[in-house]
Amino acid sequence: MELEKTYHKYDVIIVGAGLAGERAALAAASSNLKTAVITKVYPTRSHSGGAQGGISAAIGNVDPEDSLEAHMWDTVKGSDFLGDQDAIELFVEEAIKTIYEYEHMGVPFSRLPNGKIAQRPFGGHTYRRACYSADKTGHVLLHTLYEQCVKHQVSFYNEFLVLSLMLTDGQASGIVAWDLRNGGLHIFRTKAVLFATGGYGRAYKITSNALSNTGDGLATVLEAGLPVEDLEFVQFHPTGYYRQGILVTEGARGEGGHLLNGEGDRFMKKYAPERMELGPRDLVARSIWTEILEGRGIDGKDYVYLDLTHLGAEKIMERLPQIRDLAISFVGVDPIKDPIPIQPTAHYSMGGIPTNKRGEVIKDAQNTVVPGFYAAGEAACVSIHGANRLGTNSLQEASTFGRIAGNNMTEYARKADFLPVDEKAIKRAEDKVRRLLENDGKTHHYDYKKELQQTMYDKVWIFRNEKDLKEAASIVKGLEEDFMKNVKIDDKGMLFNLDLQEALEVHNLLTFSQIIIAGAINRKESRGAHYRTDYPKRDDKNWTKHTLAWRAEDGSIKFDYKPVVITKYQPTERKY
Amino acid sequence: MKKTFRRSGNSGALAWFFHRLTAIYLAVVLLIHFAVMHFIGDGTLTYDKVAARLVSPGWKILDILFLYTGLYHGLYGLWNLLEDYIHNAFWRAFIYFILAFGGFALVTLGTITIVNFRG
Amino acid sequence: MKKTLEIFRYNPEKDEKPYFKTYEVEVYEGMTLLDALNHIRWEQDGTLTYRRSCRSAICGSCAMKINGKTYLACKTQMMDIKSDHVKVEPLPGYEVIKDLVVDMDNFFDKLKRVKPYHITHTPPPEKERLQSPEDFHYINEAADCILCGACVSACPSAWADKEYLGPAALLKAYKFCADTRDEGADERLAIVNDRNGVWRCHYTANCMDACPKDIKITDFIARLRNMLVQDKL
Repeated sequence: MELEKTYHKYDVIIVGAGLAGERAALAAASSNLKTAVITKVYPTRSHSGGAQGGISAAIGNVDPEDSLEAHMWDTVKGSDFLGDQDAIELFVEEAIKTIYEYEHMGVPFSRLPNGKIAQRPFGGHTYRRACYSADKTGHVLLHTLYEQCVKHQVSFYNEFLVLSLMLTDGQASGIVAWDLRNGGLHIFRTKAVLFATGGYGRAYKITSNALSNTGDGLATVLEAGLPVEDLEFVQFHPTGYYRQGILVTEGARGEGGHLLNGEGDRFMKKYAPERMELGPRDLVARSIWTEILEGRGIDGKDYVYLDLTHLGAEKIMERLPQIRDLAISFVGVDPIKDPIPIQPTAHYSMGGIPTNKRGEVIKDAQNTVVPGFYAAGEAACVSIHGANRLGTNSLQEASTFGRIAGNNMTEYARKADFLPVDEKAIKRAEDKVRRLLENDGKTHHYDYKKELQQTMYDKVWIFRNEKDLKEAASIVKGLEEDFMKNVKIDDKGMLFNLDLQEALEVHNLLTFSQIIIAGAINRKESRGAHYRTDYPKRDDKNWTKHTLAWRAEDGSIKFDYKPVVITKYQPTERKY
Repeated sequence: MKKTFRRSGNSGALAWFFHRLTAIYLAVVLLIHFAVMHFIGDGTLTYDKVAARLVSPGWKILDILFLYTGLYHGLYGLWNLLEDYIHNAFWRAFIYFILAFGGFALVTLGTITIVNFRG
Repeated sequence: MKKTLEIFRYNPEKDEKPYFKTYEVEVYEGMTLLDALNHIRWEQDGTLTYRRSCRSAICGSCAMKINGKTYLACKTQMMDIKSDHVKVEPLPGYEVIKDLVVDMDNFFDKLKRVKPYHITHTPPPEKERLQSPEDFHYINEAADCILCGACVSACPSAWADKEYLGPAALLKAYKFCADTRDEGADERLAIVNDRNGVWRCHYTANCMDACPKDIKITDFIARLRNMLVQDKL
């Protein structure tokens, strides 16, 4: 079967149209570079829009005593001392610029009576520094950036799925993508590539993530022979709607919501007596899961209550209208009258494509840069979040590093030239699609996904141990081997082939999930979101370092480690 | 793209605005009309009473305006409705012509009748 | 409990004309129509095609016609559908690409016509522009729009005139015109002051019924008109 090939040439190519991708695109397009954004969905459908509670910056509108140092310290402590402190220092400074820039772009922020941007408290932040727009902060940011991209005439390739990264002599030279709408391979030649492909919550059965969050960028980078960083750190958000896992913003607790167990007890007083419900996410999620494991879920089941009833109808309607609407639609509960049943849900990837603080992708523990290749947002690992991200730091990171990486990429692309295409990458992309279209296997791709998600939920969840992890590793490896031989898709057409898309995504999930598991087996300590019941303490002596992992063509995994950048704050015990 | 018939002229803002203005006039005049016809006096309606009123110039002006605004208001509303449900350009043109011609005919006929009415 | 789904199917690559195919699904408490469609795709028929992403009513991908009404599949509870028979069709008013997937390009193109971005002429202050909570409130509801296209699909005026800007683009225009920080209202009002702009809306108000975010779109179009009338007076 011959697949149709179309060639394009752009100064810069950005993969992904969430906050990081669109912000980078804006940087390039406003400098008059020929810019294209490749996105799996229409740009306003990106999952940045799912973020609800807020975006952090120490602008001190509500708490004037807030400062850059405080924001930096909270982030470092939240990261369980795995975040790179030089990057965090830059981040908290640039964050302020990002907020005012957004405001000037017309983002409708909620306001204080004096007309300034309102700020609410959030887990792990000492001061009220989450700027917000009711409970749809990500949504308004995403739409505002899209509007700006429209203004600056960015070319969007909607409904294109990235298949492979082209590297020519170790430099990024373009990407190969699949046109979902019409079928066919598209080869985008470019001077610089930026990956902003988002996270991978879909590796888990219970997740707050969209069906599209399948970590395509990570798998693509691994296949190109480049490493990924710290994938074992997966954030579990404490509050997802029971069964669906859909996000209930931390802002609900920020506004004063309580967590109650089956005995009607505000159990967080046992785990974080000072911060209570506003402890960092890893701690709150572990606390909820402990209550559930010890039989104190509601009616002994695997959920607890998030109680907002005491906030009153007016506050809920003003500050959390979407949460109420979704609770009524999805769990049949009106939060004004009754508590919401919630359970922890796979939410965010702290790890990702390793970059330096300029957004340049690096390829080894010596921080060697891959020329012309950039990454930003959840897909990247700078690392700001270390072992655990604080709420509202993700929208901020995606925006700020989208801009920084975008600016640096622009500067690079101005001087760089187009390189010859990488034939191997084109072949790799073609093989992926052809294998699925031509294969006459017997197992539908969904069966692999279902088993992967269940395995990750059972064995690579909030509490981990060596035995479970090793079992998971062998199950997922087996799944991938079987997938390559026996996978089946029902739809073999060219036109909008969702079946093909999902099968490609499942393969991506299987590819990097093995790295999550292997990284978790190696890391014999508990730090942030990675908690080992067989190694329940943080081990600063041996493990204050980042994991780098490569995947060979035969599927074997190679590791290396790189030191954490520590400038101001030495690791100390983490108490809330 | 398929061409659809639309009236020539401006944005439609004036037409819309007149629709609203006529609504106000109609509401007021209808109240006067009801009051005079049914509530003031002994309440019995006869040809003579109506004819006597229609001879006075003031009533003539009021009634001619009543006729113009009523027709405009009604036909504009009707056209608005039809415009949403007739997608074919020819039929749109045809119906628009019928409405415009019918409206013009009624205006003419009504004006002649009222102006020339002598009891 | 079982429910039957009668789903519009059309693959121009091989079907001469569209047809309906019936599937049976075991319904459970909390199952959304999107869950049901996924179930069919994953367990029964992988060729069924539709758009979906966030499944929490914020991305706007899965608007479709459900038992005659346009709404989001992910926000429709199967248990809440009174009938045991659910008819699922693509959004009316758009061209079908395949099954439940429609061509939204025209929808987004119209949006681009109303200058859907913040316009200012005075240079920004060092920090934020000030805005009162009341003035924020004035644009907050309009900012809820997820661009799912259900409103346009439910609007008889949009069916009749393909050139009509439609409720979503007008709502977008309103959001900017009503923003106290924006200085582009005149430019935008000049665009919507058109036979195919605000004056083409006939207050059918179907858009408000169809809106999964419960935005009072027709009211906002009326406010745009008020701005225009006040401008002229």
